[in-house]
Amino acid sequence: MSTNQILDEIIKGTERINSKACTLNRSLLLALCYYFIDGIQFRELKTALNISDGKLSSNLKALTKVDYLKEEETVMDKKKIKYFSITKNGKKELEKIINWIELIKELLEEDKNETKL
Amino acid sequence: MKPSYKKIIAILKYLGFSIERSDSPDISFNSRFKIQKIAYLCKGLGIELYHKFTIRVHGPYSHVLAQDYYNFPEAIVNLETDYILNESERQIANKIKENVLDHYIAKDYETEFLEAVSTIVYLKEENPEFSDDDIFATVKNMKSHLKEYMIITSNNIAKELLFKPEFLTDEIRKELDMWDNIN
Repeated sequence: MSTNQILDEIIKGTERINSKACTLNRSLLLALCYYFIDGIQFRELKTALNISDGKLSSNLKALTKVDYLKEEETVMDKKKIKYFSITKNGKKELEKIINWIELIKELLEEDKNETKL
Repeated sequence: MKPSYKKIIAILKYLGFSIERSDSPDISFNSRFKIQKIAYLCKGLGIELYHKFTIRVHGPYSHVLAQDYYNFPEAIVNLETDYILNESERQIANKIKENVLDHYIAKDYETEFLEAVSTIVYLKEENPEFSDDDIFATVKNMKSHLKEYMIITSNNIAKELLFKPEFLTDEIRKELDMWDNIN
C-alpha cells in the first residue's frame, strides 16, 4: 500500500470504529475480556485497572449496552459475583481497533524507511 | 487433544473432581475457575505441563488451557482421557487433595481457598526470596477480597505443599522433636 492509501485507510478506519468503545479504559476492558475467555470478575477488573467502582461500572455498562461485553452472575462460595465476557460484536470491534493501530504502525514505519534513504 | 490437556483431565479424574455444566459454554464459570487453579497447583508442584500461567488479573490462569476446554469440552466434562498418571504425579495429586481440597476451609470456601493457595504457590515460585510479610502484602494488594485469615492459612498450606523431604535436615528434625516433646 502506498502512503496515501494507508492514510486513506486510517481515516476510513477511524470512521468505522465506535467512539464509545475506543477510550483507553474501554479498549483495555475489551482486550482483557478477549484474552481471559473464561470471563473476568468485577473485583478483578477493578484491581487490574486501578479505577473507582463508579468509573469501572460506567465503562462496563457502556460496553454492555452496545453488546460488546455481556454480564453474567454466578454464586461462588455462597456469594453472588458478577463476571464479564466478550461477545462476538465486542471481538469484531476490538479487531477493528487493532487493525487501525496496525495501519498507524505501518504508516510510521514507512516514514522511518524514507528517512533511511 | 494435546498430552498436557489429557494429563490435566487424568488428574481431575483421580481427584474425583465433578464438573458443573452450563448451557454455553459447556462448563460453568465456577468449574473453569477451579480447573485453572488446580492445574496451576499441579504445575507449581512439579507436574510437567506445557501450559504457561499468568498471575495478573484472573490468575493463576492459562489462556491455552482455557482454549483447550473450549475446544474439547466433552472430554473434560466426562473426564475422558487415555493418559495414565505415573507414581510421582499421583503423589502430587494426593498432596493437593489432602492439603487443599480436603481442608476444612474448602468445605465452604473452596474457590477462594484454591485461588489463595495457587496464587501464593505462584508467588513463591517466582520470588523465592519473598518473606511471609511480602507474600501477605502482595496477595492483599492483588486480591483485596481475600480475608486475612484466608491469606495466612493459605500461606501455611503453600509452605506444606512446597516442602521437599530433602529440606528436613537433622537440625530441623531435632528442633521439631523438641517442640513435639514439650508438655
